[in-house]
Amino acid sequence: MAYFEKLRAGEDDIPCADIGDRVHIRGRIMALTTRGPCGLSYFIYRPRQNFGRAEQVIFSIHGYTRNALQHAVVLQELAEEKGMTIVVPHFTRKKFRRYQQVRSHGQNPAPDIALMELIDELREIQDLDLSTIRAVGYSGGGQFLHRLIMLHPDLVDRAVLFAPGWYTMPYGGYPYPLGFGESNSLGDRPLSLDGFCNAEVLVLVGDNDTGRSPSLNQDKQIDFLQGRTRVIRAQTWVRAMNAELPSDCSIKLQLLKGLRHGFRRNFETKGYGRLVFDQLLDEVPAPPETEESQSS
Amino acid sequence: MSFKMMESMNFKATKRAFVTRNVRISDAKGYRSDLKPRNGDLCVARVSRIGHHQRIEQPDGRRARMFPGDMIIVAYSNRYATDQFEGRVPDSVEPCSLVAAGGIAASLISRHSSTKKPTAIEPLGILCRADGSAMNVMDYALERAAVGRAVRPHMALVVGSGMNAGKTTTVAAIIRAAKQASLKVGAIKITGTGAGGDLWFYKDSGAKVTIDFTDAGHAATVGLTLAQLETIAQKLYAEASKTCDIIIAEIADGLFQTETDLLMKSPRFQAMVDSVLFASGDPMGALAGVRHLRALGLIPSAVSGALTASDLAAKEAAKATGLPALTLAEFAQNEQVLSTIMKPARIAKTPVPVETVEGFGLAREYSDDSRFTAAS
Repeated sequence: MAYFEKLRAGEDDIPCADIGDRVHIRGRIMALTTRGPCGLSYFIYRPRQNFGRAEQVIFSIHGYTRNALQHAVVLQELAEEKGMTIVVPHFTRKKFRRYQQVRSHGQNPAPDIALMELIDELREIQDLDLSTIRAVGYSGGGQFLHRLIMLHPDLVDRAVLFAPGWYTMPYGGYPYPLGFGESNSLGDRPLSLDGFCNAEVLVLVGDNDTGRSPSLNQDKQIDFLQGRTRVIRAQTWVRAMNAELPSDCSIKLQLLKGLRHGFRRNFETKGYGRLVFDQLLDEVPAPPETEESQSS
Repeated sequence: MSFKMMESMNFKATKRAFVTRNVRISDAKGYRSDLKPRNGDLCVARVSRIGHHQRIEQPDGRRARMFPGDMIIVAYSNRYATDQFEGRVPDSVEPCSLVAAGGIAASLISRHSSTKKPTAIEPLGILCRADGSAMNVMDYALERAAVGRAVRPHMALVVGSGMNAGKTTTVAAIIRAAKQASLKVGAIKITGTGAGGDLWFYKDSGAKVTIDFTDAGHAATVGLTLAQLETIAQKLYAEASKTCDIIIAEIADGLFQTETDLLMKSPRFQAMVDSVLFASGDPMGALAGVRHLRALGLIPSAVSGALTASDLAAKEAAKATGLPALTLAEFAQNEQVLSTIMKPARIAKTPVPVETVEGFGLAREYSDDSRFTAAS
């Protein structure tokens, strides 16, 4: 907000006086910041073509490298194709150091509160469909997303967790974020499994995503409880969660043949972004007929 | 027709200039001295006296020393450099000057008072093909690329107050920041005088694609028409957008330079620009530049350039303009610097329908205001 206010202050030669800070340009990646106290930066891409209905929105949560802009860049072609809007929150290291664990850092806002501020702000926009919240989290983003569902069971409707490094297990004997037990980092915020019945949750991981690079948490307790690789950890978590969930709800797991770790490689080069979006989106209506197609 | 075969000289011993790098030199079968030089014509010349430029930049970037009697292959073009020379294409094949190390032959009009006389050259003639037709750098220009992607990359434009304002350093810093964000970066220089220095700087900073107006068929851009300048911008943008996620564009010289001024006032060009940074050597220049851009209808996202070498000057500039003054350290360390840079240069007042676009058709795709729609 301050940016545009500064521009407006005392200036009479700015082309648009009433510009606010939430104007979206279609067909362009916009870098914006929420107006509220959390001041969450985000990238938004709205498709050039308006399908004549409120656009579905997909939130894409970046991983440990904070490659938010790369998410927007990689996903914009799918956004065009599917006629939907992409929103990528940018959880900066400085402000949201432990966003994967949905924990606040120092005096900074908690990442889940910041995300809700963003969602509330986007809800003010009439031609965005936020009646359901759909999100994909890649790697550290997948960590964030499943913990978000535990903390806010009514928030998310569809989620894809793509190759998270590790998980919060549904075990009361281990403190959060390892398990559901009490922890200073959690404060008095309750955890719940209800969100996994309210939401459709799919876990995707490449069957070759078995490396133990420095980006993978190699804590001995995590190795012991969940296994040593992303594949084993995903299998362990899904099995444990499904054992705890009522019989009419379940989390699905899909191993992707030949896939290793890497956002761009998996979403763009290997084309699994489309699989993710097919999972998250309702069936996309055909674009309105043009004069040309009507005449032919 | 005064056609001399190339075999009559030791062609392999010639030093070929950077601006000729896209030319298929094997096409040259001789040279003619009876033609009137045109902008971009290739010229074979003998160095008669060493002056300001003691070296000539070669296609691979090596700056080869020149000695009297050396044969060089350069291109006729105009030159506009406030710190060096002003030159124009001569009317005939006659003794003239090497007015840029990248290989520009021109008749000298004026020079900066602190600059030595230019290196003098004696053109033998204009390079010709077997049929006697003159070879021109435009003959080897990039074709306009077809659009194969449904989306177009963000174009951040860097302009400045003049020569040595820090534009190229700013471009390089943005390239590194974008590279740090795991993006494929394209760097394009739309106007200027042919030389490799800026392109090598872009490349060394991590740009995946580095091209300039010489790739669009112009040894230099001074004296070109607006239509030619727009075509250069379109060609370079289209080429870089084939493989890049973000494109950083630089326009040479200051905002008051004729060709820069033409481009910046062009609605077609303005509509290509997603965000603008202004580089300046001092806070006063920054304020003037920001005001000038706003008057043109472009909102800069930040200021940068040589002024940011001084913390005090950077603070002054930020205070005066109300914009972030981005230092090199901020480019390197501020994880939100790309968000800052990408603040939009233009914003619509009212929602307007957005045209569906197929193919490149810039006139339609980027027609004024057609890309804007307000969300609320």
